Parts: sequence; C-alpha cells; structure tokens
Amino acid sequence: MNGAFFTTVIEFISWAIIFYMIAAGAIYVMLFLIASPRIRKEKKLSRNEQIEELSINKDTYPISILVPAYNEEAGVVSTVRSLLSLNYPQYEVIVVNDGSTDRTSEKVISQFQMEPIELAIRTYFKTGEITRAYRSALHPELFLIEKKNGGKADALNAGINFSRYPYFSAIDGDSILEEDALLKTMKPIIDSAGRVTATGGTVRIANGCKINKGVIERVALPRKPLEIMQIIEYFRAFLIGRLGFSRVNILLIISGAFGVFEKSRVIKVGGYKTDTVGEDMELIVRLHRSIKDEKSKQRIEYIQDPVCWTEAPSTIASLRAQRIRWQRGLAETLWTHRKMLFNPKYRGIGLFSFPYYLFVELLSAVFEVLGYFIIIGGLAFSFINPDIALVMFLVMVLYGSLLSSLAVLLEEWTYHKYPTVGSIVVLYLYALTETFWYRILMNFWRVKGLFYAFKKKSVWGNMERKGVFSED
Amino acid sequence: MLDLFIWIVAGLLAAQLLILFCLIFWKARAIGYENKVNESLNSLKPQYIEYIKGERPSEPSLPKSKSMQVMVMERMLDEFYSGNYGDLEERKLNQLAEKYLAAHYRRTLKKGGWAERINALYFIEDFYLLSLREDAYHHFLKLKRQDEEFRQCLRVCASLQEERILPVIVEKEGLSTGFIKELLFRLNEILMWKILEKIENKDDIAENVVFAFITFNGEQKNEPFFSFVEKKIYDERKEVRLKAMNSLCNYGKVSDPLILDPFFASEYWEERMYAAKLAGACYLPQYTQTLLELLSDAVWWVRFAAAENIKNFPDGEALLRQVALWDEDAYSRDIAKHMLTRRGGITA
Repeated sequence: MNGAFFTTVIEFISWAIIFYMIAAGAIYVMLFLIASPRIRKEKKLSRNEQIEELSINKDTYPISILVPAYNEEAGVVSTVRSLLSLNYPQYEVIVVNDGSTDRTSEKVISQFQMEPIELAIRTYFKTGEITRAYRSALHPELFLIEKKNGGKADALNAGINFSRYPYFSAIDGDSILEEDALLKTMKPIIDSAGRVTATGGTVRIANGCKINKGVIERVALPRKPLEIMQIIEYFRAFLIGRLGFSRVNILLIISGAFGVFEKSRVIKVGGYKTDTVGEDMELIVRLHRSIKDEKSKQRIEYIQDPVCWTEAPSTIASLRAQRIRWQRGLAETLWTHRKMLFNPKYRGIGLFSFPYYLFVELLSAVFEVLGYFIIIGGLAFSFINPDIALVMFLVMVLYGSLLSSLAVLLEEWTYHKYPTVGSIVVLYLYALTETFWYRILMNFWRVKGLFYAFKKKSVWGNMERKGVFSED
Repeated sequence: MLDLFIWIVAGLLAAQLLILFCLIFWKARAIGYENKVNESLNSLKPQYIEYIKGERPSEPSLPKSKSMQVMVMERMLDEFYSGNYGDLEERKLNQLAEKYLAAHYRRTLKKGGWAERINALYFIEDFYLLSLREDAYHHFLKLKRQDEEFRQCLRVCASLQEERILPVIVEKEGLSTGFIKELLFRLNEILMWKILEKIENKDDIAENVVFAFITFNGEQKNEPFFSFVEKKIYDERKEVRLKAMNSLCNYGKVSDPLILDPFFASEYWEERMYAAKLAGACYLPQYTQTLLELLSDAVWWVRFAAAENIKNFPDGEALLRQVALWDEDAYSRDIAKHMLTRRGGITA
C-alpha cells in the first residue's frame, strides 16, 4: 500500500515537472515568436549608416562611462583603452577602484599617466569613503577614483556622484565595447527624445577572440567546452529572452556588464542598492516601479546590435561562484519586490515578468534537479514507470538542448558574428550536449545559490581572471 | 505517450538539422559572394580613383551581374564619400551614383522591405541623388508611422531641399527638438528664412520648433538669424529665454553687454547660470566681480558656471586660487578648488 502510494506521488510529481518544463519551453518559444518579427524586420538594416549622424550630432547626449573595478588588474587597462577609442562625440570615463587588493590602480595610473586631483563631488548617495581621485594627463576625459571597498553597487553609486553628464553607462572592468556600441545604445534614447530611460545591449563572450589594444580583431570560438557552452547560453538569454521582454516593455534585466541609464531617474529611485549581489536587476525593477508609480510613458529597452564583449569564467570554480552569485541576486531582488508579484498595478511586469523570473528563471533549477533524482532514483529502484522517466528525459532534452540549439541557429540567421562555417557546426553540436552535462552543473549551482540567498553577504565573487584582454 | 515525445524530439531535431544545413549552405554562399565583391572592389577601386581624377580616359568595366554592380558601386562610393580618399570630385561621384544606383534605389523604395528601403534612403542622402527628390517626397507621403523610415525620409527630403516638407517640420506633432535641428541643418538659407517666416507668423507654433531654430542657429553661428535669437531673450516663456541665452553663448557675442545685467539677479537660477556662462562666452571681464559674487550662490550649477567662466578671464586662475584659500564662504572655496583641479569631458 505504502509502496503504491509512494509510486503514485512520485508519478504525480514527475508529470508536474514534465508539464512545468513544457510550459517553460512554450514560454521561450512565445518569447522567440514575439522577438522574431523585429529581428526579421531589422536584419538587413545598415547599422553603420544609421549612426553616422549621431556621431557628429551635438544633440547626442554626453555620457559618463562608469567602470567599477575590484581586482581587475588583468583586464582594466584594455577595458579603458577600448573605452577611450569609442566613436562618441562627448563622454568621460570614470574608473572606480573599489578597494582592490591587487594592482588595479597602479596599472591605470602608470598606463594613462594619472595625476591626483582635488575632490569636489556632488553627493547624491552616501558611499564608502573616497580616498583619492586622479585625472589622466594623456586623456583629460579619463578619471580614476579610489574608494574603500563597499561592493559593486557602492562603487557605481560613487561613480554616479562623481559623474557630470546626464546619462551614464555602467561597464564591467573585464569587458570591452565595440567602437560604435555606445552610439547604438544611445540611439533609442535620442530618437525617442528621452522617452526611453534606460537601454541595454548584447553581451557576448570574448574568450577565444583575437584582441589587440582593446579591440576585437577576429571573432573566434574558445577551445574549452565550458566557455563554448557559455557562449550558447548567452545567445539563448539575449536573442530569445530579452528581446521578447523588451518588445512589450517588461524587461527586468539590463546586464551589469553594459547598460545606459538616465542619471536623473536613477538618482530619483535612490541609485544602486548596496545590500544585494543582484544590483543590476534590482535597479531595473525599481526603475520600472517608479515609472509605473508615476504613470510615466518611459520605457526600458534592450537593443540587439550593440555588443559588449566580456571575459567569461574559464574554470569550474569561477563559473560556480558566478552562477551562485547570480542566483542569489535574482532571489534577493524577487524577494525585495515581492509585492509586485501578480500585482495588476504593475501590469506586464507584475503579471508576467515577475512570475516568469520566479517560476522559470529562479525555480526551474529546483524542478530540474528534482527531475534528475526521479529519473536516476526511479529507474535504479524501479519506483517509477520507465516510460515516464524517459518522457521526462526527452522533455529535458527539448527544454535544454533543443532550445539552445535553436538559439545558435537564430544567431547565425541574424548576426552571424562567427565568421566560419565550422563555428556554427561546433556551436550547434555543443548546444545539443547541453542537457547531458552543462545544464546539470548549472542547475546544482543554482539550487546552491538559492540556499545561499538566505545567508546575505555582499561580495564581488571570486572570479579568477585569465585576462583575455591582456595579451596586448 | 512515450512514442509521441520521441517523435516530437526527433521531429524537432530533424527540422533543426535541416535549418542548420540550409544556414551552412547560405553562409558558404554568402562568404563566397563576399569574397567576390571584395576582389572586385580591390581591383576596381584604384582604377575608379584614376578615372574620377581624370587620369584614365575610359570608365573601368564593372562585373556583368547587375546585383554585383550595385553592391560594388555602393560600397566603393560609400568609401569615396567618407573622405578618406582626399580630393575626389563630388560631381563625378554623383554622376556614378546616378548612373548605377538611382534606378535601383527607386525600385527599392517601391518594392523593397522595410530595412532595404531605409538603407536606400541613407544612400540617396549620402550620394545626394537629386533625381530621386520626387520619389522620396512621394514615398514620405505614404508613410504612416513615425519610425526610422519616416525620420530618414524627412532627412532625405530636407537634404534635397524639398520645400513641401516645411509645413511638416513646423506643424507635425511629436518631432523632437533634436530631430528638427537635424532637418534645419540640411536646409539652405532660403528655406531657413521661410521657416523663420512661419515661426514669426504663426501663433500656435510648437515650442520644439522655436527651441530647435534658436539652438541650431547658435550652434552654427548663423549670422543672418542672430538678431532673431537675441530678441528671444526677452520672450515671455522662460524656456525660450534660456534657449536663446544658451544660443548666444554659442554665438559668443551680444549686441550690448548691458542686456545681461538683469539676468545676474534673476529669480530663476537657470538664468543666473546662463548669465554667468554668457559673460564668459562673450569674454566680458567687466563682470568678474559679479561672477565672484555668484560663487556663493545657493545653487551648485550657478556656482560652477561662475567659477568656470572666471577661469576664462585674465588672472582668472589666480582669482580662483585666492578664493580657494581665503574666501569666507565655504561654497565659494569649494567650487573654486574644484574648478582649479578638475576638468572633464572631451568634445570630438
């Protein structure tokens, strides 16, 4: 009797997981369907012609680029160099060294001949104490500020305090922008005359690419499977997910690696929240909240074309740390703003985005891990019908591998950044393997991250930098 | 049930593999085509440069395929117009564009997809294809949404000096100041006077148009419209006054410095700030003392503007150093110190 009851319960859970995954997969397909008309429409658009005007236009808003850096000695010089060569009429670059224990500051100071300056900062937010500030003798638009360690959000807030322009862009210290990326990201803001308040571009993985003096010279695939899988993962997130959300103005994430914000609105909502590790998403949620509270018509948009190249973790340990941190950040943000969940006042955000991020992005790992145990345990101990176990496995292949391989095809159909035929084949074949190893790793780390969310501690994480940008 | 799922997964995998093979085929073909275009470009470019410079009597022969001709010519002319090839005669470039590309763009405007039409509009403007003026205007009349195509089509019409778009610039709702400025930038002086006439004779003109006209003329230092801009500092609308003051900063002159006096004591901090900026921009050192007083203004932006412009005057830095060391007012000391040490931003 007990055995039969146990089997029934397990079978019920199994079917629940199967339906959950089919529903989650269907949401992805729906997002893809929402995104694809625009992708198809803009596919042949000449992006360079589009921004020619902006690069000389006096109405292109000046912008402050903030580079929060904590122990970024391997990549910070390349990042700054790439920023200094951007095609943009008027901007300043502010590197915020958040109490690094390595030679981040020394590298910037010696490379760009930084000279000490006096501090007279407008304080919009209280931040960790700023100890010194420098300006480059070579590039008058480049600043370095040193502050006591307070986390990435605190560093960004300090950067906003120091900045002088009406828009700011947050760029990670281990990332480089394509020459026209900032112009392309600002275009919707300028075209909409300020109706768009924040924009985010696409983040891609630079591991494997040939980089010279902060510029991507040749796009190529890395050798390590772990890095290749992250490339595929980013395709899936950016090409399928974000564009779909952005189309209906319910985008909840602008990557911390690359986003542009209207400073006055960020100041109005109180800047970055310093006691969470998911400060990028948390800020976007607060911006949406303030837009909806004010009944404003402003929008937050994701633009597919401008690209920020970033260094992906190349070791198991650093990838694990990153994913645990992301999952904690997501959990903290959803918890902080739990009142928005299913709240019709916030329309699409409350009724779709929030439930999506809760049930699909946050909890899918729990369902999938449970599924692994049921498949393996059920077959090993025969407490589940092998057919059900096999169906669940097939659904996992559908949800994991086939959706990711679809993202690879979508990338090739749209932007085809990888120049050789071989690259598509390699990416596609790797995508098919996702369910069998990469997704399992991710899911266990994400579940771990969920547990860690209860133990709050603001850290930058311990990502080891191989320094893919430092070969120059 | 199991069979159904096996079929679904197998079916989707098969469909994906089919798409993959198609993409591989297209990519291989696209790479091949791209290589051909590049080869043609590399061999034809020097020959065309010689031809345009008059060093070669006959025109080089383009590939036979029409689509390849368009592609090669479009890329080549785009490069030539970019200015990286020195003194190539624009008239000849324009003739080539008219000969090889105008018909293609006319067809694209009629039958092309959204992105192709916009690309065509970009090139019509870049290559200044006057023969397509009528086509561009008629295309504009068909557009219903105010999207990139609408904006680019208006830009093209403005570049080709199409007078019939003037009422659109002045009356159309929803055009931003920045975009109107883009259009003004393209108009010749005759059409600019016609715009001014409409501004002065129409009561319910959109503020954006006035803002754009004032700002644009300042940025371009357009002498014929200076007196109109200066007159606007007495406008009853505060925003218009501010735009006019900002514009005068760009002109770097006022007809009589005394017109600034009332603004230094204005109840609006923005006017005090612009007065300080104008004193600097017009180089009026007689206002040094007034600016020193503004260093202790209640508003940071006014203090900043005052300090920034004191620095432009003879002994300005020395004065700021004195203030930074000895002034009784903490605000003044702070902003003077800041101005002496911090400079930011670049203008490319």
